[in-house]
Amino acid sequence: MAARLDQRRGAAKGIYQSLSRDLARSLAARDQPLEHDWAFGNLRVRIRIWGSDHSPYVDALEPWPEDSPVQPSFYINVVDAEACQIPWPGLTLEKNDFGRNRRLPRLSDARHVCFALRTEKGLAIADLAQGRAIVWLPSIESVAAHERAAPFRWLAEHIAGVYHQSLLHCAAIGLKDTAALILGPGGSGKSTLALTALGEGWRYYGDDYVLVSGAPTPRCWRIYRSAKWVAAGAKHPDWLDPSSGYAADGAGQKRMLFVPPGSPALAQQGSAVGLLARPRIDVDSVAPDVTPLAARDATMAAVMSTMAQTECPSAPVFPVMSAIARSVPSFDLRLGPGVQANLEALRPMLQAVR
Amino acid sequence: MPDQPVGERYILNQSEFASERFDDEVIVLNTANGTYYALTGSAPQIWAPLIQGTAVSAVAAHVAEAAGVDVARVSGELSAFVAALEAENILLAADSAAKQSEALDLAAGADYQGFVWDKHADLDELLVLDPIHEVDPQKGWPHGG
Repeated sequence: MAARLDQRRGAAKGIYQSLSRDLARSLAARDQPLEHDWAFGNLRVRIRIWGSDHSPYVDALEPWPEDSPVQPSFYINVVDAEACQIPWPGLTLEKNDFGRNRRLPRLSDARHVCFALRTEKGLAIADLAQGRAIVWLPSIESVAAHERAAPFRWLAEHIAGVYHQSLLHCAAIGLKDTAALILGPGGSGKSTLALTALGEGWRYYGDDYVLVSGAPTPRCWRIYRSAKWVAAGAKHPDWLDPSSGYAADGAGQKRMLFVPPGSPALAQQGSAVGLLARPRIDVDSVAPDVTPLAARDATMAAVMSTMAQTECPSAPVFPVMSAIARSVPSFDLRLGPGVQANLEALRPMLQAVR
Repeated sequence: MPDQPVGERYILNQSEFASERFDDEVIVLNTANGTYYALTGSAPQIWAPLIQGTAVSAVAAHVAEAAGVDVARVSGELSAFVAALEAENILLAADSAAKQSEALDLAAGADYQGFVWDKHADLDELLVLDPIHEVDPQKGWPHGG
């Protein structure tokens, strides 16, 4: 048993090289892949889809601006294995290979990160130093609904870490050039505030996952254009068709929408962070109420919910979030029954810090 | 300088933990499982030099002098604090101090409040653990899943 475990330790590099070789051999005679570029903060990430003439990711990923000549820093090769005739990489995963979520800790090292894509029955591996990833899928049609809302989220936090940034589980909305990060676990009111902000013409940077950095000054970037719409929830903007997108639950009450290009809410991809807000639902509250929140509590709220949602234990969410919380004011936002009033409670605070 | 006894110097176990200071508190986070430790009392003032390998005896002597407290008392309480954090795998014994360690900056007359630590497991409440893979013991995953 010990010998077998030793063989599996350090397997990441071998898996990556094997997949790379198979990919190069099988794709040499193929047409060029479908390509689109993802604006990942200031990084250009090139997505290459091999073996399919459509991309399940294009609606949600923030597109790289066409007039920006920056070269890609990271390449993600997505392989439709059936179309490309690339077999499963000959790896049999055992029960204790799995960690929480998708990352395979025993098959990863400091440079290579290996993922089991459970819903798709796929495999992915990234060489972070080289800036390359390969995503092996049985078929492009196997991409899960949640993956279409926040594509490559499991990989994004690792890419962010290379550049001392962090993927944060939060919503982010703003006025002009200043944003508020809305912190807290699922069900705390983040998405409702974000969708209300969309309807009221605020800037929109995301309702679930946002890229952030703490230095030299706190900043956030939209990397996904998806937005959750709950039929019984907030008012939606006129230009957002609530019947568009796709059902995100069996009852059809929750839909995943994609904010259309050209929307005023998308006028800026990134923004300075001006404040942190931690919403809290209180059924007895008759009006929103704002009180100061300690930097320590804001940090831990963000770190805990991010760690609960993401894959990457070594991501620098703790130092990045600490730096942000020390630099900008934080508030507890006790939510009232009116969604617009809740949003408006943030307005004077954002205006004050601009 | 004479050799320090074994266990006299420590560093932070950075492969598993990260620490950040907030005013009168240091938070030490286990980056793998989300458990965190709140260090309060006089601990925040000595944390940076302590995890950079400053000798425990030097830290205790400095705190005792600055606060006007019996050095034996501070030394005993600091040793217990260090031993507890070593048992939690937060501190690792070190051979020597970092080349550039932060100076002990306790001002004269500082209050001595002991070295306090509390362990928190908030993340456990937030985690909705994914189901364990149904891995076929013979075929493995994904073939048997």
